Amino acid sequence: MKYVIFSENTRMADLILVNSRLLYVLPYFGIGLGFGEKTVKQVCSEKKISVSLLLLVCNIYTFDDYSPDSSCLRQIPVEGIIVYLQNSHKDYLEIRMPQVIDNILNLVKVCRIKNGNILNSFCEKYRQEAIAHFKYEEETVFPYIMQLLGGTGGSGYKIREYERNHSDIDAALEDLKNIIIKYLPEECTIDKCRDVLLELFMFEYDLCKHTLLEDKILISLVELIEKDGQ
Amino acid sequence: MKQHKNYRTVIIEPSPVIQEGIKLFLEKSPDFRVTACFADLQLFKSKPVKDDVQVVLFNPASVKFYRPFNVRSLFDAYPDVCLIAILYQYVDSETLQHFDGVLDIYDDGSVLPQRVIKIIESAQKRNDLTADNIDLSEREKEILISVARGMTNKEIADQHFISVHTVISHRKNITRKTGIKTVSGLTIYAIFNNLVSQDEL
Repeated sequence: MKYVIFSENTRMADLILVNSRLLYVLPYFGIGLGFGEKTVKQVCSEKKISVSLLLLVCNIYTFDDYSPDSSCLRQIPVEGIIVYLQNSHKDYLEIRMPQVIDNILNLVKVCRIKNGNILNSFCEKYRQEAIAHFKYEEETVFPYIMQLLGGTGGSGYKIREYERNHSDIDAALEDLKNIIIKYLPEECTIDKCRDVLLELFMFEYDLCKHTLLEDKILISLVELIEKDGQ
Repeated sequence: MKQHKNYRTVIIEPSPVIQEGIKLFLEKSPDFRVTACFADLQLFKSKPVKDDVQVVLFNPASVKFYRPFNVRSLFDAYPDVCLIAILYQYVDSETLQHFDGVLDIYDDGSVLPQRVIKIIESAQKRNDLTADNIDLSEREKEILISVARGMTNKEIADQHFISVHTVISHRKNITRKTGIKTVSGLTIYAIFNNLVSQDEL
């Protein structure tokens, strides 16, 4: 199916007007607000950002069945994706996840949930899992890719291994959503839970697209490079 | 490449000719593997099938029912099984309604695998739609409690005298009904619903 997707002539402001979730994405490229009527192309050339990478990410975040063809994929700078992913990891670990968790701890306190401490320890366990997950990418996967780009990919590691080991850190968030929506005591009224839930939904959505970017784009690109090198 | 479904199938039918015939036609399709055949229910019950069973073709005329009877309860050990009646004589409609579908013995043998696949798929669809709002069954609650206590599938199977496959299919159903996938999430569910107390964990 052909549909309208963002292009280099789309006005920067329209990205956000169409999909407000991109408010989280643009800072990872170092883009702030105040675009006036500038187009994607203009802003990218001012900030020295790859137009194709920005468009790719925005399209993936906005259109559920968007999938780039291989010629489009070839234009994506791999270093650029890695920087983008590193920036998002930092934001997830330092700001967004603590926010989600703080909200839940606060909910437990405000509603005086019986056995609420088990929710707290669930969150803590999730935090540790996520830290380990990102750490593996930062310390093993990204350095391998950088080596490969530099022409020294002889460590024996292959991107397939990453594909196999790419653990799912969305499941715990989904569990939290279900527990909060279905199984909290009635004292936890909807107005007390709403912000917690909305934040959870947003974070889960972003993580899901983030994983998609790693699984579908980064891995296929690196596989192409691995093949070229052989 | 098309993936073969590899439905593991058990046939319970007293006539050896019909048993063999169904097996022959079914296994012409790569989607089916007939893992065992039994002449009647008694034999089936006395020799538990080790493998996971997804489809049971069962001739309801091979047992005598003197009153309307829930045939499905005979297959308790296989909660997710697709139950299909082999039919060549009169069976009352009340008995038949517990089956997922009916296989007419006078059908053309070459279409048999297709027929069975259709029945399996529509049964799965029905399960997905209806199971959503149903509470956990007593059995599922027991399994959930064991999961929350940190037992492995093998330990749970041994404790409840069921196969590991059955444990896994119970766990799939628990996840489908609650929406909760992780063990720690299920533990929270169990505590919040007073199935276990936090002290015993």
